Amino acid sequence: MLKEILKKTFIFTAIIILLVFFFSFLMIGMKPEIMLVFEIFILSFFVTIIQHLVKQVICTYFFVNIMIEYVSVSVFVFLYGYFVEWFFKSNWWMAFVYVAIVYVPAYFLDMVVVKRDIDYINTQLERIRENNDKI
Amino acid sequence: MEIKTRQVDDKPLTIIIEYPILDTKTKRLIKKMEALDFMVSGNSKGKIFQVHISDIYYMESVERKTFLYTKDEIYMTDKKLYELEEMLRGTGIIRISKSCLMNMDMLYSIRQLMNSQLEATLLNGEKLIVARTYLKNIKNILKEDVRC
Repeated sequence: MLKEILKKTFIFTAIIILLVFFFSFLMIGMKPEIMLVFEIFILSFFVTIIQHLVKQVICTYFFVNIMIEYVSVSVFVFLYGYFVEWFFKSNWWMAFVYVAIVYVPAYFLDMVVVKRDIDYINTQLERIRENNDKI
Repeated sequence: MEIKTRQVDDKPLTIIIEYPILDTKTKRLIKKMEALDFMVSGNSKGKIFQVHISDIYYMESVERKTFLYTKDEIYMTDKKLYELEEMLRGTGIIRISKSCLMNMDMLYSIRQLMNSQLEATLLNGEKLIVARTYLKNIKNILKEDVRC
């Protein structure tokens, strides 16, 4: 329930930001802060595509999966950031740090979610076995 | 739900399901019953057998060949894993990795290994690796069972 509300809140926030900045763009033209919002939107679009493509290469080793995803996304963020001038030659490695800042908590969050799912599955299996025994 | 059983001599096993509305619960029950009678042809030691879905623990694709694993036997089938997955949708046979389908009725438990892989233990003690992407499949089937 809370997860659904949060998900909708994030989507709603993103739509508001995009629409408000789009109208600002129409009213006052392209300013750096408006440009940044659209650059982030384009970045998110391509990162989502990369994540989707990486998911097609399903490996049973979760760590390998997340590393493939991390490296692919980091390389893209690095190239894109370089193209839109977020990074300079001296701090190119920041792309990898920024992506890691997102991926490390996501990795641990995933561990928690998986543990919760496993507990749920095992509890349900136990319950089914008990019901079957009764029958 | 009321369950009535009676022995009738000289008749094949007959299941009659009476329902007020054909809802999800009833549809799932019918699917389960149908699955009990569903068979896949497989061959073992040069002979062709009809294997009941309910006897299959899991199905695995190894070097482009598909194998069906029952309690005591291993059968090879001409069908591809994705064909079996499509054919057996809704029967409790679910994909757990790129190369494996598992019968949910044979699942005993799941645990996470130190290397963060997921391992399913079947009722016969056999262990299978579950890809994280497919963990949701198992959870969803059990959720449906709870709702029923």
